[in-house]
Amino acid sequence: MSTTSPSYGTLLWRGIFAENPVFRLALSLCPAVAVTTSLKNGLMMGLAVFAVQVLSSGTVAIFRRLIHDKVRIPVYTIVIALWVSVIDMVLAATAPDVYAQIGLYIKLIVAFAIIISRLEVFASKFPLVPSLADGAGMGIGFLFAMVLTGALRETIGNGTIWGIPLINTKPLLLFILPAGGFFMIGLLMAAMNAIDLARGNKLSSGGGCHG
Amino acid sequence: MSTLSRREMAVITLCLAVVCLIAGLILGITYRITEPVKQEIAAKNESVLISQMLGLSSTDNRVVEVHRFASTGDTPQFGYAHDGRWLLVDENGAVVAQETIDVTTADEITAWVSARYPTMHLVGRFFIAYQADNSVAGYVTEGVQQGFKAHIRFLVALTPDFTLRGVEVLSHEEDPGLGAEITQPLFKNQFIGLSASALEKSRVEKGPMPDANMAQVIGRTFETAPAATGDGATIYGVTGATISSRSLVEGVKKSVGHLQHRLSVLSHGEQS
Repeated sequence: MSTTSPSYGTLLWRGIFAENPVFRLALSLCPAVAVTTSLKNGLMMGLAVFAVQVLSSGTVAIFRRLIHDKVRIPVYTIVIALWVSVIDMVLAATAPDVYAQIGLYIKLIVAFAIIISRLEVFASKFPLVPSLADGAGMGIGFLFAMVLTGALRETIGNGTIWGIPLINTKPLLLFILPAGGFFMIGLLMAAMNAIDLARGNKLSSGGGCHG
Repeated sequence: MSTLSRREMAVITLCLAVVCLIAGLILGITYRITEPVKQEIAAKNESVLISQMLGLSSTDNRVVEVHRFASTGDTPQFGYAHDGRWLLVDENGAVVAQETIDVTTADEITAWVSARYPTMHLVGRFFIAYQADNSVAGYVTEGVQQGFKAHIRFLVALTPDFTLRGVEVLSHEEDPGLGAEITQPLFKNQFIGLSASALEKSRVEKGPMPDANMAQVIGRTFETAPAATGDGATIYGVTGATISSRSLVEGVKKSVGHLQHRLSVLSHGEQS
């Protein structure tokens, strides 16, 4: 793997499409399914994960030479838990009504595979600004996935968008339930692959750092 | 080499210690900044909730918070800070002292009490709502009960003649989908309309509630509640969360019992 990081543009763009955490890397599907029952919840959760990802990537990148190799996983976990707690407290104080909806899931961000994998794969090896760009790309990718899934699930399953009713009935209630969440993510994965094939790209074989 | 040298172990320990210290520092600072804001929000939500629970619509109503203090020590004493007056009683409810209090906020009252009675600390509070003509509009008491996981904090609203107007859970850590369902109308609306004596005799039955009752319970308000009977009511617990359901019912029973006693102490004190 090369030791010079890709350009910042590549890093940002990669997280949104080529290595989208939810649709390509298939990481953190459980919270992605649990929280995307509405557009607003998906957006708020996506923003929280974006904040935690960027802060954690930045922190680890700054101190990457000081973290001893043998205890790097506990240290990453402490860093992520620190920022999750900070975001949790700030959200509870500044947006209490949103916090009432998603407060339960904010604490679960600590266990997200995406964040700790980005720290291990990228932030521990590259300087601050590329790591921030990588974190931002992954965060935006996750946010994009949450917003898209949330919007579709809310529209199809609940007949509303951002709480505003579009049609009078709930067309397919299944999509609000967890099973429907997995269906929706699977369908979106297939759609992204189809777009990729149509553009002439070969499908990537999996996640990880492509240098 | 699989074994670590002493030096390496020391370096690792130091690394972890420094990380934890810095993390703790950042968390502490954030807590200091955000906690007062959270408390303010909680207090505002609480006063809105209390007005809602008591069905107070007009602004002529006055909700007075009564702070209850207890002393540790050989002779147990209890103090009530109510509406600018301080009442000190012994364990039998006999009045020991009375004074006027010139401060109004909770923190100021606690400081006032600590200055005069160092062994007394705040143990609870309840609210009395007065109408414009100073007659009682209702009571709300705060209670805490050990639930399935951690404590359940709740408010109980009562009419002046001690019929339950409703129960609201303020905080809990029960499991979502199981114990957390005690906050849903299907469970907590069962309290509405119970008289204090019916509540005493009521017992929790394992769920689920018969289908025939469900619609009435979910839509129940104080006005539509069935008339209180003398016998105890059957409260249907949440399916799969009998412990949480029983805890809340026990907590509500205890709170209502305590409130009756404390109100009588307060009124005796004011008459003497």
